[in-house]
Amino acid sequence: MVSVSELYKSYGAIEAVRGVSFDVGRGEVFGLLGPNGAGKTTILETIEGMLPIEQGRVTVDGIDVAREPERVRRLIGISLQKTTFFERLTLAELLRLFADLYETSVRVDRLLERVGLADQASRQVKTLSEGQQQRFAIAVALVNDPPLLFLDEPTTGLDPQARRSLWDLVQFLRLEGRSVVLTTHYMEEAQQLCDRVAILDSGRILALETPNRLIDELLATGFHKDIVVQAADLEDVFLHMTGKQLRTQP
Amino acid sequence: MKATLRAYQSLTTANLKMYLRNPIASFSLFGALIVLLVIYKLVFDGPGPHTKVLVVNSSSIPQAATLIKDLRSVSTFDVSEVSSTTAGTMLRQGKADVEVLIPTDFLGQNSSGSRLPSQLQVTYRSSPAGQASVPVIRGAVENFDESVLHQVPLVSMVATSVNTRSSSPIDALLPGIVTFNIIGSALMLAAGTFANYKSTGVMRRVKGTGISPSVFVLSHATASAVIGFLQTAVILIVASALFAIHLDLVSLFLLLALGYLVFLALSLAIGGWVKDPQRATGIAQGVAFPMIFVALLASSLPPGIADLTKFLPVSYITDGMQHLGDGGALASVEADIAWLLVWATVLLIGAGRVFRWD
Repeated sequence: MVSVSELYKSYGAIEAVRGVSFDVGRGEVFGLLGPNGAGKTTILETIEGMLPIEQGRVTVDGIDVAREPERVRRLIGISLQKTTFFERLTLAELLRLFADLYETSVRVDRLLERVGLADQASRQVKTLSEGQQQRFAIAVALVNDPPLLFLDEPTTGLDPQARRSLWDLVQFLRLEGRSVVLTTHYMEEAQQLCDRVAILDSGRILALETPNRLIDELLATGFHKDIVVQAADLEDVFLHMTGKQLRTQP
Repeated sequence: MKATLRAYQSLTTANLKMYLRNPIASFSLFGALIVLLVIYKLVFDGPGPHTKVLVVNSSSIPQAATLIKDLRSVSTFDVSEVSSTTAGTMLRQGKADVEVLIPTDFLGQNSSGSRLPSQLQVTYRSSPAGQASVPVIRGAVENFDESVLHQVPLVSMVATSVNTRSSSPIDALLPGIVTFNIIGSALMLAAGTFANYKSTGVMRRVKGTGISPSVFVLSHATASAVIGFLQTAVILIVASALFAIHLDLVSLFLLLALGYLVFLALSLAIGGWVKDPQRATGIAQGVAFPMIFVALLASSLPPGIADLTKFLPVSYITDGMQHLGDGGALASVEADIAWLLVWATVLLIGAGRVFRWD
């Protein structure tokens, strides 16, 4: 679905991406992991066609992003790291607006139901909780029914319940057969969601494998953890007490 | 083309909804100006400016009363009979414009019964109203002279106004009010909002849909223009309902609507280029207000610079309003409207070119 080959990107003297190559298959959830400044968002936005390609080649479904960015944009859904929408429009109005911008039609009620916001259609984005706003951003990304979704740090700043409900949503998208490329700081999130992950640092890929294979490779080196892993942690306690179910109200 | 039109219509409608759902930001200046018009009507609107004339009548003959009656018949004179002391005090305090002293020996007779020449003492404030009253008083005195002496002068003069329209202060105030509104609205609605979309990431998300910058800019311009035109029309309608306006309102609307487009396009160009909303508003004001200042002072500038200021868009607005204020109709402002159209088109195209999504 996505092919990135020898991608380079600089901001002045700073080399943000240095020779990155990877592929994302159909129906695969692919994670870009790394600390701040590793180049995750730059890679994502280059594939999306939001940033110009300086060196290297990127294709989406066989279409060259540098040559036909408009065609590529019709195939992808985007949830940016920091997304705000037009103020004073309701969720339903925003979805219809984006449908018009994508030259498509949308079943607002059905789309909101998919992201757990069925009864919020007449509310404005600013009145939603952060978790609901992130789910709405994914609803907007789904307006054009894209086979490929880009989610840039979708769970950053969310409480555990909202994060778990977003995980459920991503897994649901995979079940629908969509490819998802996401960036995250949270390793447990990547382990839970991603079929494969690329670990980035300073614009380079350090490792590219399935999470389990990466763990096995680490253990094969003789890696040993002194801390006894508990059967549950505080997050589990929190979720058990407050409920793991999707919260639709802030 | 069909898809572009759909995106344009949808974005324009969305922008209009946002403006209408945010009345404080969109209509506060407009509302304040409407209130200003109403206050002006309630407080200041009357029969027009009057000259306060004080008459000190030291004569006891009936002809003196006739002269005072003649002075009272001047429609713009507000005549009061006072003592000499009061007249002097009021004049010094600026509570009156002119004092007319009728002397004790007014129209006195000599031993043979012939009238002796009399002289009225007229003291006036060095204000426009005081100065303007002197020839009017002189005319009244000459008429009185003729009626008393029963002599028709050999040479007389009849003055007739070629312009029968009567202008009032509101005719000068109204274009100023509407111009203030269009400049303020265009700068506030466009530049700040546009840059705000950019800084909050709204534009990046819209960019992700693949629509062209021109469609985005044009839809925003259309929505802002609709709001601006409506505000202009409402101000003109309210002013017409409250006052007797002697301006060609249709021509004034056309002139101001195009003026609005010019400032809107300027503001969009700045908002589309600058990222920070506060900086965008500051730059928009920094460009617009000096331009207005220079255009208004064009006649006081050195000839070379004054010639250049004629090509500023504001100059076409002020020039057009001057023509309309002088009683002109659409034909008198056609050139100004044409030049404003050129400016608006050039600036709108420029706004599309310099636009940056982020």
